[in-house]
Amino acid sequence: MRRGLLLLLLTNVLVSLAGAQSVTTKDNAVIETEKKEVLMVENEVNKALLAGDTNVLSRIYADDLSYTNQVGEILTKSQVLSGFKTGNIRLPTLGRRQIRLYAYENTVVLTGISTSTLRYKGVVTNRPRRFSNVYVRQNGQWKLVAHTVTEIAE
Amino acid sequence: MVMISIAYPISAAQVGGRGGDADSPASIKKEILRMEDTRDRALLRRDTATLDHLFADDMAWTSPNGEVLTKSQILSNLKTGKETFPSIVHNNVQLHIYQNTAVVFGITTSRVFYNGSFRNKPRRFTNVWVRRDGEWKLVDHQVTLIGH
Repeated sequence: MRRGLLLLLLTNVLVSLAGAQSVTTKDNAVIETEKKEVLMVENEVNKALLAGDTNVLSRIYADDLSYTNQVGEILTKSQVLSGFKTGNIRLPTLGRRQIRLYAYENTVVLTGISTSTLRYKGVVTNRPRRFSNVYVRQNGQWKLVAHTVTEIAE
Repeated sequence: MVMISIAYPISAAQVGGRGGDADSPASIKKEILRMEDTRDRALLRRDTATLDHLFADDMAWTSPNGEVLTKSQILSNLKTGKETFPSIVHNNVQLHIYQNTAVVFGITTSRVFYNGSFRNKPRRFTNVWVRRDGEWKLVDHQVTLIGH
């Protein structure tokens, strides 16, 4: 009787552990998938920035995007798109390094250093800048909801 | 002194989702503002126990000079006095809420002592909060000097 009870307890523990492991494995798989999806979207954004393709940017940028540029201005989605259309914003070259992704179920924060050449209102900069992009999945689509840039002090 | 002026353009469509009062736009907004206030007061008091609870373990904290600090570095700096916040003042604070994610941004003129010098020039800040297992955690903080 006692041996039977012990066996039952042991079985329950093993089943619980197996369940916990499968949940963890599933979570990790979801996280990795989200990171891959966001990297693909980020790649699309990068190509669109270089090409000044506002159709792609318009599709990926959330309507209420908050876009903080390197001089501390906060721009709306329409201001950013208008900047590309008028030529006030241009990225002749694109450089990214130290890319890191943090996934939190339907939200991914992507951080890194940009060394892109940026022309903004006639001023050209290619000083290294820290940036973070926050992507949120809305109706099955990853949308950029926040973009923040900070110049790295020399 | 903690001065916070707030404007929060939140629409029901942005919040969507799980239903129930706890997930209503007003409830989430209130909760996030409470978390921000708790964070600010903890920074003022160098209350690292509270900050330890609020900050996600993998939080990225980008200073206005572009330095990225980890959670443990921030907590250590506060403990040792390498970084202190003698006053916290935020203006034009706005919130965008996306179900389990909140983006808070605004202008700060807080007085900060860091690495031997003070700064209180106006800076843009962005805070990203994510709800995990029912708890809101700060996962990303970034500051940009205005007009630099």
